Parts: sequence; C-alpha cells; structure tokens
Amino acid sequence: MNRFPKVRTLDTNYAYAAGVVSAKETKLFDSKHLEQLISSKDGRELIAALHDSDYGHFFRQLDSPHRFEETLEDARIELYNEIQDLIDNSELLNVLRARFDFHNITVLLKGKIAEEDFLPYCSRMGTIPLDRLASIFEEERYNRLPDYLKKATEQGIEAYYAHHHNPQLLNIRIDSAMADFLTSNEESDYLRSYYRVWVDVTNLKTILRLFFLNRYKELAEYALLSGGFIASEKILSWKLQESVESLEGFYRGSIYADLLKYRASFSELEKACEHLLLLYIKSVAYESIGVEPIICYLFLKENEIRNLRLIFIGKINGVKDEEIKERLII
Amino acid sequence: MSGFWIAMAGVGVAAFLSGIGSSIGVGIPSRAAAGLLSEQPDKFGKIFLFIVLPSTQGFYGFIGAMVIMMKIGLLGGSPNFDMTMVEGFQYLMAALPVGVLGLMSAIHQGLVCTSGVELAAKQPESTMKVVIFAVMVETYAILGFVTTFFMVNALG
Repeated sequence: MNRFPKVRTLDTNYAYAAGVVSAKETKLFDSKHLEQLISSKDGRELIAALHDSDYGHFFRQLDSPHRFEETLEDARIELYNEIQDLIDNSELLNVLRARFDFHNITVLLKGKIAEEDFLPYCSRMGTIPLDRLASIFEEERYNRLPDYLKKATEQGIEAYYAHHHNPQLLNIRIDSAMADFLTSNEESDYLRSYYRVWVDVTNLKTILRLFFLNRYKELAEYALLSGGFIASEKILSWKLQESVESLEGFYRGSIYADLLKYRASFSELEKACEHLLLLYIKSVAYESIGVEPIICYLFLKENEIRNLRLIFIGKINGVKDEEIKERLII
Repeated sequence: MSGFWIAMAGVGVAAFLSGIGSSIGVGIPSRAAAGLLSEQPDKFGKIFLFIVLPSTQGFYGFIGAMVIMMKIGLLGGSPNFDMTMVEGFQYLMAALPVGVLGLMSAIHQGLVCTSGVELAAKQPESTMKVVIFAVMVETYAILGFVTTFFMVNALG
C-alpha cells in the first residue's frame, strides 16, 4: 500500500453530529497552545493553565498534580459519552470501545494468574461495566461475555497453558483476537482501515523487536497480527529471517517504508508510528458529512489527552521542556 | 388520451423534482447548522445563507411549473384539453431541464453548503469564499430554469 485508502461517504445521517464536532474541533489544542502548557513552571501551574480550557471543569477541582491520571481518565470517559450521544449506532460504538474490553480481559486474566486484584488497572471505558466483568472473571463464567470476548479469553487461557505458563503468549493471543475483531468491523470503512494500518504498524514494530531480541524465527508465527493491509502470511513467507536489512526491500514503496529510518531507536520508532496513525486519522479532516469526522475528532481528542498526560508526567518528574516537546505526537 | 395530461406530468416534473432536490439540499446543511449552533449560537448570521441557497431550486421549479400551467391554459381557467399527444410530450420535455437540474444541483449545493457550515466553525473569516462556490452550483440550476423557460415559450 503506497498511500492511505480513500474514504468517501455521502451518509447524511451524521450531519448534525458533524456540525457539533466541527465546533468542538476548534477547541483542540494546537502546537502553540501545547507549547504554552509545556512552558508551565510545574504541575500546579499546568493545572492553572488548563482552568480556562475545555478541560477546565475537571482541573478546577484538582488539588494535586499527582492525581492527574484520574482526571484525564474522567475527561476520556466524558469524551466517549459525548460521542455516544452523537452517534446513534450501538454497533459502531461497540467497535470504538472494544479495545478497552480487550485490555480489561487481559488485565483480569493476568490478575487471576498473579492471584491478585487487578481491577484498579482496568479501564472504565469498555462496553461491559467493571463490576459485571469482575464477577464474570471471579466465577469464571466466560460464556456471559459477548462471543468475540469469550473467544479471546479462551484463546488467551489456552495459549498461556500451552506455552509453559507464559503470560506473554496470553497477551499475544488476546491482541490477535482484538485485531481480528477490529479489522473485520463492517460499521465504517474509515475505522476498519485505521485498524488495518494499526495492525501493519504493530507488526512492523514486532518484527524489529523480535530481531533485536534474536527471537524472530521462534516467535514471529505467534506474534504477528492478521487483518492488516500486509497479510501476516506474506510477511512470514518473505525472506526476513535472513536479516533485518531485508525489511527495507519488503516495505519499499509502501507508506511504512519511512518508519524503518527510526529502527535504531524504539522510542523514535514508536513516535513515528503514532505520527503515521495520526496522519491517517487526519486524512478525513476535510470530509463534512458521514461518521468519519466524528471518529476523527474522537481520535484527535484522545491524542490530545495522551499529550496532556505526557506533559503532566514530564512536569511532575522535572523533565526538560524540549524533551517533553519531543515526545508529543502533534 | 389528451396530450393535456402529459403536459400536466411536465408540471409535476418541474415542481416535484426541484422541490425534492431543495428539500434534501436544505436538509443536510440545516442538520449540520443545528449541530454547530448547539456549540456556537453566535454563528447563526454566518451560516444562514448556506441554508437558504439550496432552497432556490424549488422556486425555479415552481415558477417553471407556473409557466407551463399558464401555457396550457390551466391558470387562465380554460384548460386546453384538445392538445395532441405530441404537444403534451413537448411540454414534458421542456420541464426536464428545470426539474432534473434542480434536483441534482440542489443536493450538490447542499453538500457544498454543509462544508461551508463547518468552515464557519473553524475559519469564520473564510465563510464568504464557500458562498461563492455554492453560487457556482446555483448557476446550473439557473441555466436549467432559463432553458425550460425558453422551451416552453417556443411552444404553441
């Protein structure tokens, strides 16, 4: 794939929501505003700087910068609730929230393995309320989960026991089930393509990590996700095992080719991957109707919350402004 | 069968098609405008024109239908029931430009106006530029109306 897939829609059902979102987009932080936030002296000044922003009603109640995670989580929950009000399509909302469900089942299974309560590490943004999810896992009645989550849970458990109680395999199997679910959704071409690009990017990172650990031959078959624009079978059948350099030939001409420039540093690579996904998200910025502008806004706002989190972490830990700025995905 | 009823179908084509187009064309930006106004009520003045523009096709179609009705004597109180089938078809054909062009141009103008509504949220100072784009679409609705007008006047 040498460019992002084109999305063109004439679905007028979301015209009202698109109007709301176009107004809300004007409140998103631009790079200049983020720089102002970065220049705050410390966490407290950062909170004060956010008082007049779209997050004001959250941060005016916050007395300590160390509790920023909960506040940002509340902001994310409010964001998803707003989107839920705008999109009257429960299937689409399920797809948007499903990744939190997959995250939660991974966390709860790991909690069972560790025989500890991992519920506080779960996200409140999933489709299944946490208390219900906790009781399902406590009683091990996985048939009360939706089919796709039940299947993912069972596959995760199976992989864990089949590979000498290796929790890494549990992670991999659940991620794989999540990728299958997200890349096969029929609700939005744009969203499906986003997740397909996400799978490709994740696979590229996985390949590089496995090469770095010298475990490509051993683990690639299990670790690569399916559903991307580049089929995992195609990656596996390529002569990659010979050397990491052969990756350049494999990805030449694709939108992922430039990512390989950053392979010397995983943090740089991670940032470049996030940036590529952001570019895809913004590719529908000029669409005026359809569900795409709404999903685009959701992802941009989530990215903004992620950036705020990075600024808070930087400020609390005394990281230099320049370093914080470098870590942001803008 | 009298050609009069075929000419009446032409009246319907002119009024209905362009009316449907305008309803859709006004409906789409109106929904977007309602969404925008829920967040920025002060933008009403900037976006009002975008809602009004796609409604004009419905008026062109209505005037086209009136012209045909006058020609076939319906408005004068003496309907020409003696009209031949060929004459009736001529009126029906004459109604097509304003009807079909009105339908298509109103929908597309509605989409342009929806973009304009969203631009009004993000860059209010650029709003008038989109009005020009929307007026470009309007040109073809006017051409359709003028064509219908000349065709009907050229008949009997």
